[in-house]
Amino acid sequence: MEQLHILLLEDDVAEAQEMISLLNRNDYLVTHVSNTADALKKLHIQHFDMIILDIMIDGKPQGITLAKQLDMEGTQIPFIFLTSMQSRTVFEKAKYTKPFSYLLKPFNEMEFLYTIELAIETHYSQENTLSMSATTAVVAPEFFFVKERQKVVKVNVTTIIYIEVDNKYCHLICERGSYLIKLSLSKIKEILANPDFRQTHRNYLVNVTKIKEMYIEDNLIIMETNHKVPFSGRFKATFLKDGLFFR
Amino acid sequence: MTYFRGIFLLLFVCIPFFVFSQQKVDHTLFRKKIVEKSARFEKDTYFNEARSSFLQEKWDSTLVYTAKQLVLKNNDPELTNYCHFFRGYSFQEKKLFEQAEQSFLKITPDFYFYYHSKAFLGGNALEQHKFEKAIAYYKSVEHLKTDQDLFLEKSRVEHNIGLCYLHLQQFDKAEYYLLKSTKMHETANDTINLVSSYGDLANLYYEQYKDEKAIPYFEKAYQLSKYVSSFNVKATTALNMSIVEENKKQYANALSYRKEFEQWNDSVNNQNKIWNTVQSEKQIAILEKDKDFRILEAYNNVKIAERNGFIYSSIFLLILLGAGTYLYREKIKATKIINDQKKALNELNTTKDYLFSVVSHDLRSPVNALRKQHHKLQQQVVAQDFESLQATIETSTNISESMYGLLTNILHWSLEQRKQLLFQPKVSSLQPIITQVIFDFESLAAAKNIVLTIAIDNTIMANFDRESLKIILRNLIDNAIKYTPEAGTIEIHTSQTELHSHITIKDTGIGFSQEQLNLISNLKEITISNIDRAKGVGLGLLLCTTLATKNNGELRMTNNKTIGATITIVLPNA
Repeated sequence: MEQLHILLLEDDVAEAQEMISLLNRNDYLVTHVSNTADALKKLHIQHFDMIILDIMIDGKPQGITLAKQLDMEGTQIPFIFLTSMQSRTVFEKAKYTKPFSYLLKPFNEMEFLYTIELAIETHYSQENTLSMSATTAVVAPEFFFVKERQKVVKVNVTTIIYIEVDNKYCHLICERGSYLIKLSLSKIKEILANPDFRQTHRNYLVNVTKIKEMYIEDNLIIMETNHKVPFSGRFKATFLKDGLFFR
Repeated sequence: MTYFRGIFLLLFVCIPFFVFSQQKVDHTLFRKKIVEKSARFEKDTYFNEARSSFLQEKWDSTLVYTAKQLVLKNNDPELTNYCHFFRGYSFQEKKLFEQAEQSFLKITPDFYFYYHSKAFLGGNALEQHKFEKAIAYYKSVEHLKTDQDLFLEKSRVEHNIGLCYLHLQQFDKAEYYLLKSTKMHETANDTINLVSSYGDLANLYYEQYKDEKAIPYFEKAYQLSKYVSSFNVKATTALNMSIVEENKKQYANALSYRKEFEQWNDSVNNQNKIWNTVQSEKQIAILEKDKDFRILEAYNNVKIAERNGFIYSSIFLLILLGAGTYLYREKIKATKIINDQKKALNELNTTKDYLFSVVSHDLRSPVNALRKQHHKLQQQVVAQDFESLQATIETSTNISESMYGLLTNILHWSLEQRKQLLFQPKVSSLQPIITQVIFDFESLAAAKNIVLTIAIDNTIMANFDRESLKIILRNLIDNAIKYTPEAGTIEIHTSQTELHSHITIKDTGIGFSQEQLNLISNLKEITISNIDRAKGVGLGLLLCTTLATKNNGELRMTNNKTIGATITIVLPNA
């Protein structure tokens, strides 16, 4: 479980200060920059989980320009646009058409925290998850995001033990507990794209590094956490053939 | 006497010669034969032209075309013969006898019309008074048996031979031929030629002073001439008779014949005159016809011009009509656009007026209140009345809070009116939105000891734009707190039907006035054009209604049975 690292682009010092303290209070790690050049520099040096940026920097809509530039570079980071006016002109002028989250100034702490949840949901196309319940997670290639009290935290996917289908969606079982993911199993598999996660059954995606014992005749896998995962004929064959679990 | 005879002789000689070349029936046959016989040379352009000119009796053209044809080399001998024949004939007609003779002489004996050429040569020689030559030519023709071969009567050949001998004073031979031809004429019952023959015979005898033989012939000729229509013949015979009578010293008879001659001569003149008159009449008639024709032509021209004029004018009118229709349509379009624009402008103007009135009325009083508070603050600071200071600052803060709310509403409303409001309807949970808005009012409610009872079903999902719902909620909760007295209760809860989600805000305040409720229930839609600000419907309510509508929802307002008001926001379900 890790803090989210947020890049804040805000040229107004007072507002920046207010936001930094708000974010710090909620256990978010913040890096503040006051112009787009610095922002780009920081982005090229290290990884951020999110960018919160004022649309108007020095009276110009540089925020959107930056967002567009990052999109073109293929940088996949959730954005939150800060604006004091609920006017669509600026977005239309900049022809920014991707799904985005925005926050109207002035805002209260709840709105701010909610918008962070929305930004992650929107970016990973898993709406109404984090913002709806604390037991729902958003899955990304390296991390999955969950809510810890009021804030969002990220958890490394290596801590996942297995993922199990539940009706339309899936349950993610990790060392911390169980979360609902509003995606199909195949979609999750696609997002993770990780050879450690292998399907043993139509309804199960297992982290092979977390297997304790296997009872092939009984079609049973015992995980390190003593969870029992079943095998099914078709998946067992390919699973055994690859032989990845014999280490 | 002799003098008279000379004239008389000439008179007589001319007639048969003249008749010879004017034989109508045979002439037609002759032309037909020419066409038939020369058919194989039609391909030769010049010859073809020459032949058609010849048949149309255009002698000059015939001469030109035959000359052109003759210049060409490798001509068929028969074609050459035809050319010479046409040329001879044409020269003859033009009285160029020497040339005619030369042309005829070039014709070879194997030519179909060879004997014709001989006959023509005879005529030619006779015309030139070369009587011996003429006799030679005629004799070469004489032996031919049938008339059909030559299309000319043999009797004439005989007659002309006789004439030649007469001129040569060989009276025996002349008598022989003339008598022969006369017999032929008699058998053929050819009156006019018979008159000539009798005349010639009479002349023959008269030349030899055989008056007893001559006179009966003169008389015969005179008698016969009565059955002939030609005045010339009648006149000649009469004149001859008068000369005969004069010689007999029968002056009375001579005079009567003379008179008759004069009469016939006059008739000839008359006939000429009549002929001339007829000709001139014909000319006049032609002129008249021409005139008629011209008139008709002019009339036609006028008609054509009229028709063209009609066509042009109809085309013009059609174009005019098209252009008119087009312009009319354009005008209608333009008018429609103008009307639409006018409507839009009116709306904008109303909006602007409304905003001005909001700014001037709604904003003026709180600013004034704020001013007063500041004056009060100054006094209190001067008076060092710190206890009252706290209350004054609190009032100022409240005033500025409400002013900020008002300004925010103005901003959103004007954005909405200008269709500039960022609007992203999404399926979301109602709970976090309501919670976030209430969060701002908790302290305000607490300050008035108002109890907020909140019952939100966090499973309710609706389709709405988050920011606009926040604006609605902020306004409604703010109003509820404003109009609910100290220690009142505000209840906020959610519910859901099959199609809609509801957020209900129920307060224990003063409720709506009957006027407000009437107004609201009577209006399907609240717009600036139909609200009356004096009746307490302000910008806040207007904005809320507008935004609810924009979210495909509505705002329902009622008074509670006991006390206070209930407002329900209705939103479409997910």
